[in-house]
Amino acid sequence: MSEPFKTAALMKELMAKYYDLGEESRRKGIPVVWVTAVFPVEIIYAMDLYPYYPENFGALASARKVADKLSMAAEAKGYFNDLCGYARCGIGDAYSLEHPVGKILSPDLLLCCNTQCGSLPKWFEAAGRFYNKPYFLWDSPMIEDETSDIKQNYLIKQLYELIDFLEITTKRRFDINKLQEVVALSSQATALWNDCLEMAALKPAPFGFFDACIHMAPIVVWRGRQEAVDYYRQLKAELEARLEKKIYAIPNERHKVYFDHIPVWPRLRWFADMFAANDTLVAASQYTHAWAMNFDPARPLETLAEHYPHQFVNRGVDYRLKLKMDFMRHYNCDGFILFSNRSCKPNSIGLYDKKRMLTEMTGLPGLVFEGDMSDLRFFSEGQIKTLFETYFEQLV
Amino acid sequence: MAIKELLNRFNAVVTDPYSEARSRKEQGQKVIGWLPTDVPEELIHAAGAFPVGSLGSCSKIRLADTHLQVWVCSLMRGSLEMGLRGDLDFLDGLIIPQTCDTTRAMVGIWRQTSLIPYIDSFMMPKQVKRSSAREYLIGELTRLKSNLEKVTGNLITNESLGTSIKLFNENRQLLRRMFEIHADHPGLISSREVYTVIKAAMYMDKVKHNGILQDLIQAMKQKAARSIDKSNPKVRLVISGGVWEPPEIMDLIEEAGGVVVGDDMLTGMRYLSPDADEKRDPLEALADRQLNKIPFAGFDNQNYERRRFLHNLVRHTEAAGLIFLHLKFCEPENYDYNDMREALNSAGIPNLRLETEVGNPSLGQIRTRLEAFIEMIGGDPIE
Amino acid sequence: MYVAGIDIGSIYSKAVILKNNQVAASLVKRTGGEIRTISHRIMDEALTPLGIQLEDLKSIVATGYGRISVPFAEKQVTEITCFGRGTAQLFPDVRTVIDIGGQDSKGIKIDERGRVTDFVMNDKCAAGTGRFLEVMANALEVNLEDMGPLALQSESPEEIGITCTVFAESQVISLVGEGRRKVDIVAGIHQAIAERIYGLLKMLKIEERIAITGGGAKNIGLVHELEKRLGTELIVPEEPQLIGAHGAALMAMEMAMHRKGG
Repeated sequence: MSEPFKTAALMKELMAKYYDLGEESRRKGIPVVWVTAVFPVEIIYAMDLYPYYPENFGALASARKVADKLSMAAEAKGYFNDLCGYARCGIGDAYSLEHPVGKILSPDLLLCCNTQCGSLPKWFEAAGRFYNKPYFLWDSPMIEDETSDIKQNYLIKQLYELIDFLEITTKRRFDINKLQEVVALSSQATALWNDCLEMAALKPAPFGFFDACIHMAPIVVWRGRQEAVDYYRQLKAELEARLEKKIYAIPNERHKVYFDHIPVWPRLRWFADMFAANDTLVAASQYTHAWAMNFDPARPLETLAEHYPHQFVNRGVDYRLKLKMDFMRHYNCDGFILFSNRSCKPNSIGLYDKKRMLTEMTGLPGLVFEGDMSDLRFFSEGQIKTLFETYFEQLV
Repeated sequence: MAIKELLNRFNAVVTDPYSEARSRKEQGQKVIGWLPTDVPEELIHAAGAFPVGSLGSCSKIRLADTHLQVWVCSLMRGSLEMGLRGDLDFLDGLIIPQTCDTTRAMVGIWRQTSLIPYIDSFMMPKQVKRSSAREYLIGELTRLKSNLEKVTGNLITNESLGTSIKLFNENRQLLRRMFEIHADHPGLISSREVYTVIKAAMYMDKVKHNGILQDLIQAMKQKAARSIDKSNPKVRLVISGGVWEPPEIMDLIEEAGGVVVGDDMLTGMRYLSPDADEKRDPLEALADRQLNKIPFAGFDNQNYERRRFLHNLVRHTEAAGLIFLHLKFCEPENYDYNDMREALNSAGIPNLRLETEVGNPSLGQIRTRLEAFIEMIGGDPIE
Repeated sequence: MYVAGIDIGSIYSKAVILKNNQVAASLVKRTGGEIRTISHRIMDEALTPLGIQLEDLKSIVATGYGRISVPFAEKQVTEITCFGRGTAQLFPDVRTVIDIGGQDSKGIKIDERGRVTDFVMNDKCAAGTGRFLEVMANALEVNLEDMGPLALQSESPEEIGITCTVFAESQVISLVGEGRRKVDIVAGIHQAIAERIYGLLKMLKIEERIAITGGGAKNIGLVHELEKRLGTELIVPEEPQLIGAHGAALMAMEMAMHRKGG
C-alpha cells in the first residue's frame, strides 16, 4: 500500500459524517433504507432517504478481524458457516449482545438487487423478518448470453414498482428531476473514480488495487452526492501531485498483475506487503471497477437499469473472460490472481476452468487461491504464502 | 396386477433412468434434459422432444472436482459428474433452471465441458408477487419456446402445447391421488415407493407412466378396502427440502418407525402441483402455474408464506413432526432454516434437520438422529 | 432380576448390568475388531464375576453407533435417548446433557423423567469430538490423557479457528513449526473445541442443571472451558462414559417389568 494519503483525513471525516447522518436520520424519523452495494441508490438519495449498506458493515467487521466472532452468533441460530461471511456478520450482530464494530443500523425498509448474488436477497429476507420491515427485491435475471428487451422491460417496470413501493411506505413524493440531478452527481463521481483507477496503468503507478480498496468507501456510500465528487476530485489531484513527486504505490514496481474480485479483508495489509515485497503491483480488479459506471443523466431510470443489473457477476462465462482479459491488456498485466472466495459463490464457481482458459488465451501465468473474504477460519496462511511465493517465482 | 409388480416397473425405471430416453433417441426423437427444478417439461414435449430429468444421483465423484470447489452442493456436482463421464451425451439439449448462485455458474461450466449442443438457462423471476413477474415470465417462456423450436425443428403451436399440458396435468393429478391414498393409508406402499413413483415420472413417457399409475391407484384402493386394521403404528412425518437423496434416507425413516405423509420437495409435491389451467392461453397458463407453486427457498418468500405453509402442512397431514432434508451447502435452504425452525418450534411442532449429500449413502449418524427424533416424538420406545 | 445395557461407541464399548435397579457390574473396553465379537466379549467379562450367563439376563438393550450389530440385544435404542435416561436416574434435576463421544458430540434436553425433549448433534465433520482431540494429540505427540491437564497450564492460549479437522491439523502443525509452546497450542485446541460445542448447544434452549457425559467429560481442560462459556458448573458423573449403557440397562429393566406386568 502507498504511503499515507492526505485525503485519508477527508475520508475519515466523510465516513464519520455518513454514520452520523444515519443516527441523525433515525432520530428525525427519516427512513433508514438498507440497500445492496450494487443498487440504484440514486433513487434513495433523490427521495432524501438515508441509504445504509449492510455489506459495508460486513466488510468493516471483516477488516477488523471480528467476522468469526460475529459469525458464531449467527451460527448459534442455525445460520451455518458456509453462508456468505458478510451475511453472517450482519445476522450475527443482530443476534449478538456484543458489537465489536458498533451496532448494525436497523432498517425501516430493505431494498435489494440480486445482480450481485443470491445470498443478499436471502440475507435481506431474513433481516426483513427479523426486524419486521418491508422488503423489496429488484430482480435482475442473469444475462447468460445477451441481454434482451424482455429483461430490460422487466427491470424498468420494476423500478416503477419500486418507486410506488417507496412512495407508499415512506409517504414521500418521487421527483424525476431530482433523480436526474442525483444521477448526474453519481456520474461525475464514478468518472472521477475511474480516473483514479486508471492511474494504475502507468508504470510505475501511484495507485493500485489495495489503495483502491481503502479509497472505495465513499464511492459506495456517497455515490449520488456532492461529497463523493469532492472526494474523488481531491484524490485525483493528490495522485497527480504524487506522480510529479515520483511517489509510487510500491517502491520498486517490476510487475503488474490483475486480481479478480474482493480482497481478503482481514489480511488486506498482509497481501499488500507480500505483493510489494515481490515488486508486484496489483493493478486492477473487476471488484473496484464495479463502481466505475458511466450514467446518462438524461435518461435517469433507463440508465440505472442499463448499468446496475449488467455487472460482470451477473454475466455468462464469455463476457467475464473477455472483461478479465480487457483489464489485463489495458493495465499491461504480467499475470493474474483468481480468488476462490467461499463467501462469494457467483464469482468463484467456475474459476478453475477460467484460469485454464485465461492462461491458454493470454499465455500469462495465473493462480487460484482458496480462502474467504471475511472469515480467517477459512484461511490457511502457511499454505497461501507458499502458493504465492511459488507464483512470484513464475513472474520473474 | 399386484402392487408389487406395478412398483417393480417404476423401480426398474429409476434404477436405469435413461433407457427410455436413449431408445427415443435411437428412434430419431430429440431428447432434452433438465436439472431440478421447475423447467416446464410441457414445452419440451410440445416441441416433439422427449423431456428427461437429471437428478445427479451419482456416487464416486471424481471428474467434477476439477471444475468445482469442495463447497459446491452435491446435486450440481453429481449432475456435472454424469455429464463429464459422458452418461448424458445422448442429450440434444439441457435446460438448467436458475435458482441459486451455484446454478448460475453451472451453465457456463456445462457449456465448456459438455458435448451437448444446446445448453440453456431457464431464468425464472425471483419475486412472484408483483405484476412485472408474470409479464417477464411469459417473455422468458416465449424465449425458451423459440429456442426449443430451433433445436427440434418443430413449431410449438397453441394446440400442441395445450395437448401436452393436458397430459402433464393428468400425470400430476394421478400422482397427487396416489399420494393422498398413501397418506390416508400409510403402509400400503412404503414412503420410498411413493417417491420412486414420482421420480419415475421424471424419466418416463407420461402416457406410459399414467397407465401404470392408474393401475397402481386401483390396486392401492382395493388393498385399502380389504385391510381391516386401520391403525398404523408409524409416526407420521412431513419432509421439507430439495431432494430426497440418497434414496436410502427413505428406508431409514421407515426403519426408524416413521412414514412420510407430506412434503415440499422439488422431487415431491413441488413437481406435482399445481396444474396448468387448460382453458387459458397455454404460455400464460404455464406462467401462472410457475408463479403459484408452493413456496421454495430459491424464490422470494418475504411474506412468510413458507413458514405458514409448513405449519399448515403439518397440521393438515396430522403429522407428528417435520424433518428438514437439507443438502449440504444449499444456501437458500440454509438462509431459511432458522426462521422455519423457530416458526415450527413456537407452534410446538417437533422438527429435525438432517444434512444430506446426493450420492453419499454413509448414513450412520443420520440413522441415529432419525431414530432419536422418532423415539422422542413417538412416545416412549418401550411402551 | 438381571438386565443389561450395552453401548458400542466408535472408540469405547461399555456395558452395565443391573440387578433390581442397582448396578451389579460395569465395564469399559476399547472397541476393536468386529462388533459381534466385542459385544460377546464385553458381556462375558461383565457377567463372569456375577456367576451368571447371557441367558440369565431378562432383557438387553443396545445403544451407541454399533447398536444394530449387537446380536443378542432385544431392542436397539439411540444413545441420545439412553444418555437422557441414564443421566436423569443419577441426577434428577439435570435438564441439559452434553455428551462428548468419539465421533459425535450432542446436546440433549430432558424432562424430569429423563425423556428427550430436544437434541442437537454435530455435523459430519469430526471437529469438536473425541476423535478430533485424538488427531490433535497425535499431531502434537502428546498422550490423549495428558491433553486436558496440559491445557490448564497455559496462560496465553494460541488462537485456533477450527472449522474442520484438516484445517485445524495444518494450523496446529504450522504453529509447532513456528516454535510455539505446546501448552499454549493444547489450550488453544481446547478453547476451539469448547467454542464449537458451545455453538452447537446454543441451538438448544439451555436449561440448568447441566451434566457432561461421554469420554469428553473426563477431559478436565474441556470441562473447564465449557464451564467458562456456560457460566455454570457442570455435573461430571463419576463414570461419565457409562451413562449411555446405564440408560440402556434402565430401559431393559422397564421392558422386563412391562412384560412381567403386562
